[in-house]
Amino acid sequence: MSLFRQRYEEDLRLIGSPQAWVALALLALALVLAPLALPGFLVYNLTLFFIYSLVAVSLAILVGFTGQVSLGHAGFLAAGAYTAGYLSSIGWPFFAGLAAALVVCGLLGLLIGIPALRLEGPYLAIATLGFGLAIQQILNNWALVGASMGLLIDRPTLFGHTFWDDTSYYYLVLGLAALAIWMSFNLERSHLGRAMKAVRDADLAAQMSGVNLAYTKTLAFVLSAALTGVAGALFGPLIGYITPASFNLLLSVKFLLMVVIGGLGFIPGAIIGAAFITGLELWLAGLLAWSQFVLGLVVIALIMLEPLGIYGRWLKVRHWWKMWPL
Amino acid sequence: MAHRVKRLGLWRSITWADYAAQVAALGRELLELGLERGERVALLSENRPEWLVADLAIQSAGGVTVGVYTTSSAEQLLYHLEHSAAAGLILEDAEQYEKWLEIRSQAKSVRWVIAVEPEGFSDLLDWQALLEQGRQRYARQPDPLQARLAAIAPDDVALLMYTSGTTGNPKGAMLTHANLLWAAEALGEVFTFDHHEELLSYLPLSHIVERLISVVAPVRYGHTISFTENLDTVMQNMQEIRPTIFFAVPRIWEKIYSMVELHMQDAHLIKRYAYRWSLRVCGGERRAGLAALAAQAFVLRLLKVRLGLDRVRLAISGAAPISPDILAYFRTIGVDIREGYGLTETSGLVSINRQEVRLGTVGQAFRDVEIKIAEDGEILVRGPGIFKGYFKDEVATAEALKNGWFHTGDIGELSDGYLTITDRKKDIIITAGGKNITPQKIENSLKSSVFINDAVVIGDRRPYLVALLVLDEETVGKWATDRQLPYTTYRDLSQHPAVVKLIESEVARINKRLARVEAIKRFAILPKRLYHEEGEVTATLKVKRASIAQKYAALIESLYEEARN
Amino acid sequence: MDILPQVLISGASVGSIYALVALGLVLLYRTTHILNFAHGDIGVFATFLAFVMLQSLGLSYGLTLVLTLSAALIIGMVIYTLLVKPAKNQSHLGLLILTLGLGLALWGMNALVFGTDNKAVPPIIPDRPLRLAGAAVSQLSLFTALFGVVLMTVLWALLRFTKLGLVMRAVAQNQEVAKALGIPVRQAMLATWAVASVLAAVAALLFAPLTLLQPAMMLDPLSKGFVAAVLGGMNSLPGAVLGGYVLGMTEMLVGTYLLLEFKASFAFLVVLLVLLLRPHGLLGRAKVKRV
Repeated sequence: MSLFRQRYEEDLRLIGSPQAWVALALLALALVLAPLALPGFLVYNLTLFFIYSLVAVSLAILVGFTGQVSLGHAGFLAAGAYTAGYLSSIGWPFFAGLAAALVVCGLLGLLIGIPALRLEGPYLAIATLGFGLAIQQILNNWALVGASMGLLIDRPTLFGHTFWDDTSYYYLVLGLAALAIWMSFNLERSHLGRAMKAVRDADLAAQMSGVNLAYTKTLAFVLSAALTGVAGALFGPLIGYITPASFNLLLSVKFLLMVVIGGLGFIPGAIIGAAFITGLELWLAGLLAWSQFVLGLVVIALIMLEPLGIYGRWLKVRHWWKMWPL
Repeated sequence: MAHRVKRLGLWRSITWADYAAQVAALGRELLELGLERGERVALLSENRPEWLVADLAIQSAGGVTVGVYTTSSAEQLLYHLEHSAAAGLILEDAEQYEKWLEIRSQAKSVRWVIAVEPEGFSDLLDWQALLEQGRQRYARQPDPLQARLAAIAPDDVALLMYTSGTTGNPKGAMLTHANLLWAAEALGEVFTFDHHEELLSYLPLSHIVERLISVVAPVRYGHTISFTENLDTVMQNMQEIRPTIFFAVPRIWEKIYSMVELHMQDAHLIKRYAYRWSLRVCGGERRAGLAALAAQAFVLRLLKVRLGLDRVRLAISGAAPISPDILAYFRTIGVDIREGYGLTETSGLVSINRQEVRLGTVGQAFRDVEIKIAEDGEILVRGPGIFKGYFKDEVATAEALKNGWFHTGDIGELSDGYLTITDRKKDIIITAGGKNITPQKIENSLKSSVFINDAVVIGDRRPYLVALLVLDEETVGKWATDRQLPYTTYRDLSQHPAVVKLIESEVARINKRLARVEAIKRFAILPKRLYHEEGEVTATLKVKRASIAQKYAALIESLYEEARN
Repeated sequence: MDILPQVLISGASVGSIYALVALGLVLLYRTTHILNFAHGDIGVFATFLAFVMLQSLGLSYGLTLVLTLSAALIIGMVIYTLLVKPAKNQSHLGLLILTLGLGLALWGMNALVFGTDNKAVPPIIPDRPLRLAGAAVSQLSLFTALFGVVLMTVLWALLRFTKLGLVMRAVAQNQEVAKALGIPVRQAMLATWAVASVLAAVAALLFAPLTLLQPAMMLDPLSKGFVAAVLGGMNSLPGAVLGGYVLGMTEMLVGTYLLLEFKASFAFLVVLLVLLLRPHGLLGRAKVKRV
């Protein structure tokens, strides 16, 4: 009785079937065993991919769930990286720095989220764009964090062990990223998640059904920014040396591309988009111009062929099979 | 589980203990309301657990249940109430209440009215409240109800079923407790029921077959009955419940068929091909061979799952003749429909195809049923299922029951114990040329077209046959949309020249399969659908010929006019 | 105080460029509701073409200008025909992503074809100081400012007095009704893309002599152009112009008299404040949302 429902939990379950459990187990196994089979630079890039996935997922919460477009997420990433990086350089423990990054970025999200309530569509997008640029410029001229010379960040030390080794840092990031993404899935299934999607689809109707528009939209901004901040805190130690120049508009654009190309509105979509774009860049690494050119063409092709993104296409295929033979 | 009901998207269960307790509670309260032995109580509600509770409660109190079709108009309701002299009325909700309000002043016999969903009406008794009171009262004083139960004799009337009179007013057939008990046993003799059968209740409970399926058989055999939310959700509920026994009138089987065909027209190329291929390799003679096995395993089995028919062990069609094409189609996809035959006056059971199905027949007689063909071909039946008579209508009773045999009014043949129905006696057409035509066969052929929903063949004492056709709005509408033909209403669609041409070609195609005398020379597409409330069809959607012939006399004349000119 | 005229002229010059960029963006947004992130890269491409014509082919300024603008016109039409028209069922975000992809592709193409090294574009008139109202003013800046104004006037005339302009305005106002009235909407879109591309090219051509030509040259002006457009109101052409000049002036004034380093952030703050007071920009009109 696969469609027979006697409890709401049956529909809300995260892992819906034995097949899903198996798939999840295989994925977990692959991720855990990867560093043993892959060369060092791939392990490094996989770690980068995890961090970018986090940003993409956080952007998916903002753009995908509540429909507010942000072109300034590189700014939040920078804020998180710099906060955690600076604090670790003055001796704070890693997790304290992480928490601080989360809080600082959350507050920044609040700072943007509240005015964002008054803005719609293009106005909001450009306002976030300006925000991203402003963050970049402020960091570029702030002597405390090294201004345009940048900041050196060490790998964190936990319980005496320092994560100099790429493989050990990989596991740390994997663990934290997996935790954060699991929480995002739970957000999606929760009442708040549904409220957010209602806001995206029909905000007036949602408001009349009792959803507090201002609260939901602002909270989305805060959560998104905070999550990106956490990603930033992980980003700094990975790269080792951050400058304001690397958190530019292009990076913000890439994050947005990940979310939309992967599948707008779906968390797996954001992760797939991150994988796709990170993979593409890796493949064309070193040939900067080619990398941008190919990325541009691929984006155009994908958006024209499948507006719902890669994950959207996957869902269509799955639906096709589920309905077989009808 | 006795019942399943869908509320707020989830299926809720009602246990047998609950069911029994409710019956006892309501039964006790009915006594308190003054229900006398043998008095009639009318039920006007869609299918829901409360309907069954009410039915059994009324009977427990020694009363007689009169089920009224929910599609009845206010006048039709009044007729039922007056003719049966109902002492009480149990109705469902505001929709039915409106009808009661219209005729309230004229229904003098009704002493009390109970509403299942009172929705704030102050002048009706509240079902919930009554049940509560009844529970307590029964707990304190079970005896009055027990006494009534004990006093029921097998020959006492249990149900008053108004037949879907195709001519004249409905007649009230009296079915006794003995009739029902026999029916339950007869069903069990033919079908081996498992304790865990799942059935869907969606056909009107005022019809004898649905009553047997949802009320009588479950009490005897323990089936679980699931109630559909409404007529539109039947297919969806089928997918959810996946019944093990499925009974449907031919119209429903036709609907499923046309739904699949319609869907396939728009389906992906691969799916379309797989479907057609599967039908090809599994059609015709018995499914054998590797191709057929593959088709069954990879395509048709899953098709049945999508339709909710995958667990059906027993598929039955009855209450009207079914087109052989439809039977063949379902056999191909693996649903072996068995045709059966019965009338309200025979407790719904006369014959059924058992394991050895013979297509085109309605099977062999049930246990203890005797079938005889009269000289003029009319089917006569005798047995424990024959009704007691028509309520307050000795003339009709005498006409129907002669020498202990019930005259069904159907013409048929018997061969090796297998019964074949030819047509309704009254409907046989004798053309001006003296030819005997059975309109049913022609109408069925016409209805096998996906574009035609209903057909009425006219030709009594006329030079040739004409037909009045009702379009299947969905299929024709889609056909028109695909060709970008603009239309607004059903009437519009029915008058559109392109649609007329389409139907012309359909009729021509069907005419080829018929004998020359049976061919439809002219037809007219009716500008509206046929409705029970307007007296054009019965509650079971059987066409009322006389009323149609009268209503559309001008149209019919015009069809004969053209030829003369 | 004696550098005020210089600052004002510089502000006007930079403002002209922002205004031109904003005009192109708003013109397109009004009609198609697309935020065109490829606007800058189209301009850069045109400028590269001009550079090649000037340096390698030795053509005159006049001829180069004509050829370059014609090329921009064609590019705009090609983009519309090949990319935008087929994607008409996309959501706004989808179309935004489309222009982002297009921008990236063009950036990459420019880098691949023309190289990423900085090129110096010879200005149309030498960058000599001019004495104006007792202050030394950059001749080039003055020329840029004036040329910008001239072009905006031409655009205004086009929209106001020609049939094509009327059609474009009608489509911008209400596309559905325009279609129902038989107005050639597709032609209007085609024309809009063409004109917007020309505007992009002119803005880049004016900007190039003030800086160095390289593929990412218009990234900053594009961002500023967007901010200016939003400041003035995304559906108002006069607003775009106003926004451009206000932004340019503010930047120059703040940069000169307050903090040079944070002039962009400050400008952004100003814009944000304006938006808080007028969420649809200075001259923008709020769209009534029908439920």
